Amino acid sequence: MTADETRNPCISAVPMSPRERLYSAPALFLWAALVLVAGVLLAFLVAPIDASSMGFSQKIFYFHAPIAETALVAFGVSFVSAIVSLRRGAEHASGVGEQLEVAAVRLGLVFSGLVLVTGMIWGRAAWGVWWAWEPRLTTFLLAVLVYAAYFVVRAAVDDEGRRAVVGSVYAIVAFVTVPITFFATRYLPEGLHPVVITSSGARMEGSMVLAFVVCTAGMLLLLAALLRTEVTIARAQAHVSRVKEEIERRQAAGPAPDRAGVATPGGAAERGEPMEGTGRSTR
Amino acid sequence: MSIEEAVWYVAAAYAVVLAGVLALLAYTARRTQRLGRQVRELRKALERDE
Repeated sequence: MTADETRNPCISAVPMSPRERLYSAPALFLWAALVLVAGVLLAFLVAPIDASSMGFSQKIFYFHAPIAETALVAFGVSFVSAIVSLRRGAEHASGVGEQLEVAAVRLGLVFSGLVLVTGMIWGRAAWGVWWAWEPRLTTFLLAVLVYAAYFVVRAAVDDEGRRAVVGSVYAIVAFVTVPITFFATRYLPEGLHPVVITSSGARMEGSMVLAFVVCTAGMLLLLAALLRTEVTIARAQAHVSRVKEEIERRQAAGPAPDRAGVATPGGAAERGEPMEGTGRSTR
Repeated sequence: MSIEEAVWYVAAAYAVVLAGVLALLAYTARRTQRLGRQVRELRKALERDE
């Protein structure tokens, strides 16, 4: 067991430093909740009602757009994690890179689902239709379907090392859909979807921009908290599985005098035997 | 669109977001709980081993 693994709060009770506590998952969840509540208050109490035909229903924007951006950021995280994971090779399957990649795609899909549903409600209020085959909606749906296939592709590969490599390659290729979605409304102007944030600035009042920025920050903090939790759970789960396998192996082999995965007097570590199933880079 | 009608759309959208986030948190809590149970079982198995 490495020193890093003993810091896992699910396994060890080693206290965190104040700095670690600030970036811990519970702290991130708390920050996200506070910022999101502030975002809702700003959106409803400070930002004025939109003067266009949207009127009060424009309030959907303050959560719809930040969730969309968060989904795209999550896919971006999966892209970077996939590159890191791929650079380390198949022997680093089940490493933090791969766990982060899987968690980011999963959360990106959940956020995308929320974008699609809130977008449909927005579309009904703004355009009178639940769905329109216009560039932004179509490319976003395409991106969601491509990323949903990520799990199908991974499930099709039995070998863990190969699965990690195939998944990473797929995540890198799938990321092509993200800039296409983002720039669809900018370069295909005939779409219904409005472009609010442009290179020349936001087409909104200052208080509207403030509410939007705060909601975006809250959603990004929520994503960070969820990603951190997912990776912690995945790492702890992998560690528990390895220790379980080790116990079963030793029980099957006969009397097991030492604690599996922990260097105890008279145990495998003292005898100079390798501590199988406890290394970080195992599959 | 009347303000009454718009309120329904906004409420529906925010309810969807809230439900989605709560579902995510519940799923994460369930996974954490399951992991905690596994760790406790593992600890018991290790104590038996000793």
